[in-house]
Formats: sequence, C-alpha cells, structure tokens
Amino acid sequence: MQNHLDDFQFVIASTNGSGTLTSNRILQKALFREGYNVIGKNLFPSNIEGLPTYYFLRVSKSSNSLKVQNNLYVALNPATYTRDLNTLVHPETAVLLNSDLKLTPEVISQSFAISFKDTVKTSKAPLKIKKRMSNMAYVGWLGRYLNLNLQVLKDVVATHFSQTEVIEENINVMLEGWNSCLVEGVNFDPQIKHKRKSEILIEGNQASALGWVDGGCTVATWYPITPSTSLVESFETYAKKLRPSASHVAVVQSEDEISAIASVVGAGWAGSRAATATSGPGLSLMSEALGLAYFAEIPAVVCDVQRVGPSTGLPTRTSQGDLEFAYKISHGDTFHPVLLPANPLDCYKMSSLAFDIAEKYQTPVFVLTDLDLGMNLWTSEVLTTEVDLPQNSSVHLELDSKLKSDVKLNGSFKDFDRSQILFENDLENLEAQNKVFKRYLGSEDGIPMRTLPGTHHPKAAYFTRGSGHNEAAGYSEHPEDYEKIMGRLKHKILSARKDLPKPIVELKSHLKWGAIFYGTSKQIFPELHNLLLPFELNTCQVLALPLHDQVYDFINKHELIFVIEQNRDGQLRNIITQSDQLIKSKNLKSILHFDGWSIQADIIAKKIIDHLSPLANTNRASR
Amino acid sequence: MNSKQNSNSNIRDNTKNESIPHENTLELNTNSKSVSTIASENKFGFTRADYKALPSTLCTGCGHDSITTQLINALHQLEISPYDIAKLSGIGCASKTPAYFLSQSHGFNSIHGRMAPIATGVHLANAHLKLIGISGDGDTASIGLGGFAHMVRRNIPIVYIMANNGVYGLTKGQFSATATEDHKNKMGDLPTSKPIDICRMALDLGCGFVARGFSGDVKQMNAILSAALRFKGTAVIDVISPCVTYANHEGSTKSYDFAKLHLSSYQEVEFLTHNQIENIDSQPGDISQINWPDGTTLLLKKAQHDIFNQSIDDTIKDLRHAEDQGQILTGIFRMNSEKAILADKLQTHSQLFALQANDLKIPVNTMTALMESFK
Repeated sequence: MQNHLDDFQFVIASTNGSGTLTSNRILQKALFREGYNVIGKNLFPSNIEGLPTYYFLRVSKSSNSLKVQNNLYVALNPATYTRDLNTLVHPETAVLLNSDLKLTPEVISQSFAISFKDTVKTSKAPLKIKKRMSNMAYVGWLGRYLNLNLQVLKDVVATHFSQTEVIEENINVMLEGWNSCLVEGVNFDPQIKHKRKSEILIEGNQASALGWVDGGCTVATWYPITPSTSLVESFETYAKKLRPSASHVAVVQSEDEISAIASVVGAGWAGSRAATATSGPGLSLMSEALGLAYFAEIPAVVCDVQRVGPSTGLPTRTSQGDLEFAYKISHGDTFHPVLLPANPLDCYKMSSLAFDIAEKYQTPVFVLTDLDLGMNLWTSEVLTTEVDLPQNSSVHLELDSKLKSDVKLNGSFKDFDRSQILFENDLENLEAQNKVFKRYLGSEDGIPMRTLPGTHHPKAAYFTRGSGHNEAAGYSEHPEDYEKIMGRLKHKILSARKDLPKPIVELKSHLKWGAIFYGTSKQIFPELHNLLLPFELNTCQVLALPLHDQVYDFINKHELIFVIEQNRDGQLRNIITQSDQLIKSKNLKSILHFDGWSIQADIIAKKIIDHLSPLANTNRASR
Repeated sequence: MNSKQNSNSNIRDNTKNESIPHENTLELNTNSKSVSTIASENKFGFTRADYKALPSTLCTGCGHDSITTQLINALHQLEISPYDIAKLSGIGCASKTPAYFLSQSHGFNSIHGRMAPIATGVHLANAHLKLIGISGDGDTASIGLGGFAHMVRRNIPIVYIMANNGVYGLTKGQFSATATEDHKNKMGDLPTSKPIDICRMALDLGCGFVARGFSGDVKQMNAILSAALRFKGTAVIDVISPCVTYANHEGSTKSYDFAKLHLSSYQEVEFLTHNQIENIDSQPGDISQINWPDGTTLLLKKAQHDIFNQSIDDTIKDLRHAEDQGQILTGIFRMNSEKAILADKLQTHSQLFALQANDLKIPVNTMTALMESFK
C-alpha cells in the first residue's frame, strides 16, 4: 500500500462509443462524494464510434488542472497502446490491462491485468450490452485500488442508470472487478479529504443553461455544433421543467447559424430575452447579423463555447481562440461586452447577467466559455438563485392583447429591469411633458430608449435599419449623423463596464512581476504559485471586456506581466496593447498554451520559469 | 381555413370559422356596415392617409410602388390596426418599401436575405403581431433561399411578398435567380441557369397560401392581399413587379409589355366589401366565395381548380405547365390553413416577450432541490 499519497492522476485510454464515459464519470463522482478534490477531463475525438478517447482523473490536495505525469494508465485500446506507452506511461506509471486484449506489458514497471469478459460471463444481456457493461469491471477494480467506500461506489452506479435490473447487473459486474483487485492500492493522505456540503459536480454548459433560465431567456434559436450543443439542449429541458409552465420558452433548431442569430435578433427586437449558443465556425457565420444588432441596437446573447480553430480545426479540443473575433465581431467599427467565465458558477451567474446587460444596453453580449469548461464535469460551489420567488408559484400572467407596462403580478418580486422600454403609459407621460420619443437619442451613458412592436400608441413606431440613421431613426447619410451615432455607440459600450464584473486582482506584496489570465486558465491556480516558488507573481483575472481601468492599473504597477492564454497569438495581450491607457514601455510577455488540451499548471510554470530564471531575485519592488 | 365545404354550393361560409387569423388581436368587426370606404376613418379612427408613410424613393413607374399602394388600400379596407403590424424586409429595392407604408407600425429593414429568420424570431417573441414581409427576388430566391424555405416549412404566420423583376436593381441590373432562360438583359445576354419559381417551391414545402400577382393588376392584387392578410400561416405572394430601369426593355420577360401579353390567370379573384356583395351575379359551378365575419367576401370566378383541397402535386403541375407554355400564371394557387403555425405547434406562450421574472426565474426551493441531483 502506497501510503499517504496526496496527488494521483490516472488515465483511461479507450475508444469512443464504447461506453467508457459513463464508467469514468462514475469514478469521478465516487471520488467527489468521498470528499476528494478531483478533476476529470475527457479528451474525445470528433467521431461517434471507434476512435481513441482518453479520460484523465486527478486527485490531489489543491490542484485544479492536470499534470504531465500519470500514476496509472488503463489500457483499453490496442490501437493506441504502443504510442501511449511512449507518451502517457512514464517510468513510475502503473498499468492496468484488459487481459482479453492480450497486450504485452513490455517495459512497464508495474502492471495488473483483469479479464473484462469474465466479469460478464454470467450475464444474459445481449452481447453489445455485455460489452458496455464490462467497463464496470475497471470501475470496481479502480474503486478498490483507490480505496473507495464500496457503498458510495454502488450508490453512484445506481444514479447513472434508471432500471432496477440494469443497476443490479452493473453493480454485479463492478463487484467482479472490485473482487479481482488483489494488489496493493493507493492510500490517500486523509488530510486531502474534506466533507462536501455546498459543492456539486456539473458541466459548464449545464450551469450556463441554468443561467439562461434565470436570466429570463424566452427564445433560443440555435444550430447544433460541438461543444455548445448540450447547452441549448439542457436549457430547453431546464426551462420547461423549472418554470411555472413549459410554455414559457421557445426553442427552435435553425437551419444554420445565420438564421439562428437572425431569429435571436428578431426576438430581441420584439422584446424577448433571446439567445443562441455556438462555437467558432458558427460564430463566423453570425458576424453580419451581430453587426446589425450592434448598429441597430438590439439585445442579443451569444454563448460561444470555444473549440480549436480556424476552420473546422480540432472540433473536440479546447481553446481561447475566439476572444478577439468575438470582441470585435462584424465589419466596420465595433466592439462588444464579453463575459469570461472561469468555472461553472461563473457560467451560471454571467449567463444570467448577460441578458440584463443586453437588454439594458440594447446590444449583443457574448459569454465566452470553452470546451474544457462546457463539456467536462467540474467541482463547483452550488448555484443559488438570488430571487426569492413564492413557493409553489402558479402565477400565470393574464396579458392584454395590448401592451402594458404595469401587467398585474400576483406578488411582489424583483423583476427584470425593463426601464429602457417605453410602454404606452410612458409615451403618454412623455407627451404630457412635451417630449418626443427618439429611438436613437442616447442618455448620459449613451443608452437610448426603445419601444416594442405592438405598442398601441401613435408615437411608438420607429423604423429599424442597419443602414445609416439619425437620432429619430430616419435614414441618413449625413456625416454628422453617422459620427454622432458611432461616437455614442462607443461611449455606450464603454459605459457598460460599470455593470460588468471587475477583474479579480490579488496583490501579495510589492512584487514587480504579475500575471493576467482569464477563463479556464484560472484552473492552473493555486498550483502554479507553488510550482513557481521561489518566484512569486501577483495576479489579475480578467472577467470581462471591454477592459476595466483596474486591469491597466495592475499592468502599470508592475515591470513585467505574463499574459497567460490558450491561443497562439496572445489575443488578450493584443486587446490590452490597443488601448491608450497602457504605459507603452510595459513589458507584456505572452505565455501561451494552444495544443487543444486543457491547460496545465506544470507546463505553464515551466514556461514562466524559463523566462524568469535570468531575472532571478530581482522581483521585489523597492519601496 | 376550414376545409369542410358545403357540397351543394360553392359558397364558402367562413363567418363562423374559428381559425380566422388573429381574430381577437385584430378585432375583426362583425358589423359589416362599419367597413370603411377609402376616404373615411375606419373603426380605429384611421384614415387611408394613416396607412401611408414616407414618399417612395424608387424610380418613377417602379412596380414596387404599386404593391405599396395596394397594401395601403388593403390594410385600410380590412381595418387592421397599424399598431398590431410589424413590417419586415431584407435588402434591395423592394426591401426599401416598408418605409413607404404604415408610418405608425414598427418596421425593420434588416440585412440581405435574412428577413425570414428574423420574422421567425419576432413571431416567437410575440405571436400576436401581424407580420408583413417585403422582399425581392434577389433577397428571397438567391441569398435568402435557405431561410425562406425553412420559414415556409415552419409555417411562420406572415404575408411574405416577393416583388419579382428578375434583376438586381440596386446593383444595376444583374440577373436574379427568377430570370427566365429567355430573359435578355440590356446588353442582350441570357442567364445561364434555369429560373426558380418561388410559388412551386413554397407549394412543395407545404405552404398554406401561395399566390402570384402582377403589380399592374389592381383588382387581382387587392383580392390576393386581402385574402393573404386574413390567412393564418405563411402566405407567399410572388408579385411580378417590373423594374423600369433594368428590366422593362424589349427582350425582358419581366417587363410591363411582356407581362401584359403573357399573363394568364388561375381564376379571377375579386375582393368585395359588404356593399358590393349584393351585386354578385351568382353562377353555380363557376364561382366560389369566401365570406369573412366582417361581411367582406373573396370571390373566385372561372375557378376550375379547387385551391382549398386540390393536391399540391396537381397545383405544381398546373404551374409548371403554364411556365412551359411561356405564360405567367397568376391568381391564388392554394389556400389551406390546416397546418399549425409555429407558436401553436411548439405550444409556447403567445407573448413570450411580456413574461416577467416570476414566470421565468427558478424559485429558490426548486433550485435547491435541483442542486441535490448534482451532488
């Protein structure tokens, strides 16, 4: 028994479509329920059946990203076995073999073997089912090897299947595996376990979907694309299940991403909170309609679950490659509010917030997650809704055919802020004050007022167009009108920063070096700090674009800044340097990770150390 | 439209038909005497002038301006409140026209070829709105063909007018996808590809209302538009609308002269207000009529085809035959509202846009219970 291990990573190498995802997630959930800090990453191919797929699981005290060294390798795919021995199996790595596959252990220091076939030989299930079920053998074997509680493992298996018979059969196979583990296993340091009360295991896409529900999304039009598909599918399920009526949402699968965003724009124009989810190729198709929404000032929410581009790229690998594109999407001068979640809780909160920002500022708002966050299971704080709605609410609005801003509600709850919309009585009040509604006349923050089609008032109508217009929404090619509108739009989007989450700045002391990061790059912390010692960095986590002043304050306080990103070109760095708020002499060094795999603390630490070593011991700023 | 037809008569009584479009929203007046004449105020207090908007900036004599005029007349005549209408368009000469009618309706001149999916979004957000979409043959039959087809498949309730002149006007005379193979441009060149007949396509996709008109035929256009505005579902109207600048020359198959020589009608259609109805010279077997609750009537004369129940394939065959004969077949080709509109099919709230926090947010208890499933 290897005693008091505090860091253990294992990888299951199989083929996709063989049912191992369920088994791997059972292991992850069991480790989670036992109280371990566990991370799981699924590296899968763009394929339905038969291609190599890997599932990494790491249990550690406080690490949140994978590491290079695996402690155990589970060999289920003969096609990749030889290659994997060179890349995933290190001198210290133990190997679990499926003896049915007759793979030779070769140079492996420590190998174990079980026959998967034997574990299902008594089952009367059809061959295909038996084959899938035999995966439970390694769940059981590993469960015992990792010293898991058998009852916990059984409970978790039970939650993954619905029929009693199926549960029993799977548990039996799992027990076969459990009993066949006769070797010394792992004994984790008890100190790395903690009691879970307020934590969950959830995919970022599921959390984003719940954010859409709470953000009041009523219309979602979308086109299937990995890795965003599960976001909309989850949204439809949750919205129909969790809202007072399943009729409170419309989800339509569009014919392409052009139509998906066009319908979002149409719904937003008519007053709905509307959204779409997509990934890089889809976002490319959406650029024209998003330019329209920006210029004609129509709310829209777009969640881009980033994958590796350009073109089809690596469709099942993760990336932060769309940052600049999303921020500046459309021809002409544009930039947009962009939210950058780092974990499921962010996904939930920021997705919900995106609808408020879009509605208030009447503009497209982007939530940029990535495949790693969207499709992997993450340990997260529980998601809690902020609005206290009445229990057993069965409130259904009795709406007039006419629009009313004072629709009667059977209760007094916090409502969505719709103060930028003029309803009939608002227009009457304006008239009483001898004022006129001008669609594109901005307030101090550059925000105009709008009316919705269907408003029964002679002064409500205006003409929306993507062509040049003046404040009164009339067609205009006048240079002054164009400059005025474009100037106000810039001011409006910059004003939105006050409603966007500020960066999280952590200043340890008067250090000269700092790191800026965003999104899932957060997972390399706090491990990165430990790996860098004795070097130290202050950090600034960017949560939104356009950049807040605090980001520039942070940069200007330090002599050397590492900008950590998951793309090739240092896209956030590019955005930072475009601003005149930056002191030009500042040294911004890109630390990049863009191979499609989830970012890792050990790899990033090495890159930073390579850069810092020549500068050793000069990190303290003089006071 | 109710497909049950009285077998003893060709008179179609729709006065008790529950599927009249937006009956509640549009508040169709059942008192036939209130149907207005063009000069007077209608029941909403709107005169014909209230249905107008900015003056047209299109070329003098443009067919699209006639469509605008016919729309103004039909909307005024049918007493549809401008407040309940949303005007939508794409990009092109025809797509400019929503600025020329209904100044008191919200209008959306969007981007090239995307009016159909934008209309889909508007419908989902607020199914009470009466949608009028104006597009051109470039906007619909080329860049917007995909979106158009899927709008028809989904049965978005909209009066979708494609002003069809066979050319791209705004970019100075390139062929569109509806230009016939014998259509010469001003340089004398012919298109290289077969034309797309948007009516046949719409029929094939199950469109409930399909018609073709000629912008120069006021009486027919008035009847087609009036029927389309009453229809619950996608109503596709292909309007031959000559471009006086780039397609009105000799050799053009979309010119006024060509149209007048080659028009043939599927049936004669006429829209009648209550006052005119008594003058109908009824000849059973030759005339069918649709009576609406407000006392107005659509008259179909010399109607050899049953546009309510005839198989789609037969209608498509009729259209193809006419095209092969070098004719421009006009009239109402199909009128059947059995298919559910999208919002009804999805069973969504008809005014999703108006739902508020307590209709949409997750109650605390529900959320807490849900979180347990993730533990």
